[in-house]
Amino acid sequence: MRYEFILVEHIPDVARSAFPELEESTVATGTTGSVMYGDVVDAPHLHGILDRFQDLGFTLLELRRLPD
Amino acid sequence: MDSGRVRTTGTRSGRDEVATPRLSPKHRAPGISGRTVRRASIPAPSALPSATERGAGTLVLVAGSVGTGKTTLLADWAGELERRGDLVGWASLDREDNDPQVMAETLLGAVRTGISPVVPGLADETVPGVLGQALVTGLLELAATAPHDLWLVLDDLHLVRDPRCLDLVELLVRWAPAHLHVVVGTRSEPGLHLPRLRLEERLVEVREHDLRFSLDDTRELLSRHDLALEDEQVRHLQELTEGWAAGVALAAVSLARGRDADAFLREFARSDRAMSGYLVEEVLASLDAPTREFLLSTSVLEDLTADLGAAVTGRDDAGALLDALSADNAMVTVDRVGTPTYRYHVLLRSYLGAMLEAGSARGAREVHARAAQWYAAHDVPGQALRHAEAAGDLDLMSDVIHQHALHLLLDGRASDVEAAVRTVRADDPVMGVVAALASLDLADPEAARRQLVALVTRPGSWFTDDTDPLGGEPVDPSALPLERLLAVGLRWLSFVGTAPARVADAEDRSTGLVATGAERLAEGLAAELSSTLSAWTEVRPRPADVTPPSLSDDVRDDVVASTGQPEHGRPAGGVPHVQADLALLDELNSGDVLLGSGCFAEARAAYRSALHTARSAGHQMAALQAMVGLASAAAGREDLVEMATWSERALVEAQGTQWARSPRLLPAHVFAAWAAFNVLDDATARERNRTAHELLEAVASLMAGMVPATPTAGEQPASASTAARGLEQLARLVRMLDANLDLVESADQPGVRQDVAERVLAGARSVGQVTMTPGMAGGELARAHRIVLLAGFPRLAREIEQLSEGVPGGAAEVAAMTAVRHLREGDDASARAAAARVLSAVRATARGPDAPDDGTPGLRVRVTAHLVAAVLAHRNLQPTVAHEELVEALTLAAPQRALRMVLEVAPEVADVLAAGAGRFGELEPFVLELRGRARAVTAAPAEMPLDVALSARELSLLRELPSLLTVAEIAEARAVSRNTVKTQLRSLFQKLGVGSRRDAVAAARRLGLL
Repeated sequence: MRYEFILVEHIPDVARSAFPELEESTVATGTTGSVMYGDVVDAPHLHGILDRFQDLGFTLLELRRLPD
Repeated sequence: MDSGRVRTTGTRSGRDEVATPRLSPKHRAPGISGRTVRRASIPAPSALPSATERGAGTLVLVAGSVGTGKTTLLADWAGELERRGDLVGWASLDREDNDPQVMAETLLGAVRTGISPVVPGLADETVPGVLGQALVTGLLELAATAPHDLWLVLDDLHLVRDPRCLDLVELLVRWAPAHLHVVVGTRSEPGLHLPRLRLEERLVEVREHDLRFSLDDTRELLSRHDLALEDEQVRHLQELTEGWAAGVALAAVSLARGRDADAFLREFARSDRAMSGYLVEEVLASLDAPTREFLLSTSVLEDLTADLGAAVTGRDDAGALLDALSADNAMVTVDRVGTPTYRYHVLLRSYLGAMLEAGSARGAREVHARAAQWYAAHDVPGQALRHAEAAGDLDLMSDVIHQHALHLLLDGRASDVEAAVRTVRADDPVMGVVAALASLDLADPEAARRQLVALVTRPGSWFTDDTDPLGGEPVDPSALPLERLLAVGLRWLSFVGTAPARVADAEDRSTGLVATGAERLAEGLAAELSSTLSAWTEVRPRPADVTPPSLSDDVRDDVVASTGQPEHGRPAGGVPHVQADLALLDELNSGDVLLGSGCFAEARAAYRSALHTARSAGHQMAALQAMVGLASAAAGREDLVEMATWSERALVEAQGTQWARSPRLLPAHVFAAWAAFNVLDDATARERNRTAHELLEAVASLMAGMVPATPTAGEQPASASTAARGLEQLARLVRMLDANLDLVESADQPGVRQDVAERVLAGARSVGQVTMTPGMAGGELARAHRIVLLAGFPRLAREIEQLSEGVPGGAAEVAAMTAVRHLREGDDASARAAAARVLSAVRATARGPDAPDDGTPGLRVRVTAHLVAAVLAHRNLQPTVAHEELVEALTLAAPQRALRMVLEVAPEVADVLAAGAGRFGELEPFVLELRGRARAVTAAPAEMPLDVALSARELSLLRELPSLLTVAEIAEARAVSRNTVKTQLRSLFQKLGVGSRRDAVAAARRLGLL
């Protein structure tokens, strides 16, 4: 399952390495926030990623599953 | 601690000094420093009148994302509430609370700390061993002792995800009485039924937008950092941070370090990075390089002490550095009670962690490795293993396992160990054995066997190789002694393991290998071992009190004999806890083997010392196993009271833990069911037996059809292992109890009786075909006999007697059976002769009541014989003899509270009991209980109940009849005329169908009216 996460903020480089399994989209979306995507193994993994966003103080704007 | 703790210095606030020093950090509100901003806009909550009117407590929900100042707010409230005269119980929840048992203790601790200032001496109360609703009820009772409003603060509830744990909170909130209020701090919507509480007007919500810093809050915070910004700058900062508490605090730290306010705000506004990232970087940039480095290295630790910090970073001044950081930085807090413990704010820690990963993965691994070493050296194996794994250091993991595997296993963390061993995959015999032990612990004997066999058959292994495999290598004194470990593993396997022949077949099919010599050797060894051990333990007078002699010698002898490998005198483990853990495993296994070979008294001693060792080492699983063992041993010794106690205790303690449904507790379920049945508690017996049945099926499928599904399928009797025998025995007990309960429930249906008798008889006929100790076989046949008789099939009972004659040492048992059968058939002469045979055997071997397993007939046999004699005397109108025999029987049965044992001999027992009512002295309470239950057991009531109900007057008169009062005296006492009493008496006699006062008393007693 691939998921896309759209954040309100732009992720600073120092925090990038907290998400080794996600890639950052370089396509301009018109927002200032980061767009991350990547493979999510299962529900606990997904919630783990959301927790990490929270731990680092990011606000999740949108989350969706990508067509495989 | 996830919150915008705005600023914490080392100074303690007043409330912490008041608190009892014994409080764990978990139950202390974090200290609040002088730099904390008091949130005037969010005052401490008070009980909602709407809730109080309903007689219910208020729930206060403080929900907000990271760094919004929840914990600080709650700590501030706690102080204010206490000043107001209310009581506050605090709990900082963490991930460990995802275990219902831990959560229960946390909640209990919070309630206790809340009411301890007003109810002294409470802290000594033990933790109630119950969970679920019972626990919550207990908590509420405890809370009810509080004289004022009690506020229970649960901070960081979002860390608790386990539904069973959330259920506890949910129940607590739902049932909270008017003076108990729950305050919850959480980052995510908690799984409590908020809409319902909202409807009931019991909910106060403080949400993220409420938590936002106002302009005044921002100004106040800045001023507390001695920063005087212009109004415009303050407004700008407040807008930029959007009132995010942590943001303002981080900015204040940067500004306080001399950053120019205008430039800072300009850059802040221009930055497109996440606010948190920008601000944390700013703060880190303001620190000097060594301090930054220190923070980075220690970020892998959740809590750190100066000692741990020094070990991880190699800096001697770690303590001073941490002190300075906590005094100066909002993001580092300290708990100074006991050894100072420091903690980084989750925001800071998350960023540091990410930076550490980004910087160099090797750096992170090194830090983890050092942390693992520190934890290993300080005997925290769980953390050590976790960090070793994070470090990716296989050698270190292997070291940790070598030194702490038993500790981890006995803590019930077999799955962690198993995963770790799989990760390490070292080619090392100790690891192999540990893996096997872990598999056994995870109830996978097949895997364990494979691992052990692989271990001994691998070419070049120490087992098959001619050269000394470990020769030359220095022996680590703290490492696990391999031989003993292997011995324990093999012994364990021989107990729980599968029948060798069957497994060998499976092996052949799956791998296409023919069993090698070494494989056969391993199996022989396992069998050999259990017999050696039983021989060895029988020699020892009291196994528990002797330091176990090195078992390795036993194994080595075998190995030496078969491989010609000389090796002796290797030092056993040198570290005390390793020794203790090994001793514990050893005691448990000795108990199992002794139990399997029928040495119940020795098994009991072994289990007792195992329980003691397990308790002092805090190994709950091991303690449970020991209790189960004690129950089994008690069952073997016919000690009903002990059997009931231990099995119930094991079940109660296991309830709610991860072991509640463990197949290891199967014996506890079985024996608890029988214990309930023995005291005529049929409902409990049925329920326990049902659980036992389910577990049995689980175990049976686990052991791949090793337990015959039908009682007749006892093939391969010789090769069945001790465990298989034990399991078969348990299965028989379960089936027997099922049959017994069916009979009790539907005694009046001939079809059911027939069915029960057939089921039981089929079981009895197969007794000869399976391996059983004579005692077990005798017990089984006696139980079958009783059921068949109760079902009303004396001819089948006879067949069981004939079967029993084949059991060695069962003569007394057979005589008792015969006596009961004759008694029920009405053949008094034969019954008397049979009972006399038993009683003479009893008197001949009478050596006190405590020596059942060496020739003396068992408790049930003796009780039965006396009761048969009593009933016979009763029939022959010899009341004195009947009473004497009855008292003998009851003296034996009363200490065991063996209600059913007494009552099921014959229906007339109730009559004999009734006849002697009031003459039993000490035994009277037991007799009363027996008589109360008498009618429940005797399947067909001896007499028809009364056609006409007695009037209230007649009943009260009936109670006077056994006394020595004359009719005149009774009349006078009741202030009625003599003739009235006489009229009532006549009517009473008529209804009871008797002609005299004496007969009336007898009839009333028989009917249970007296």
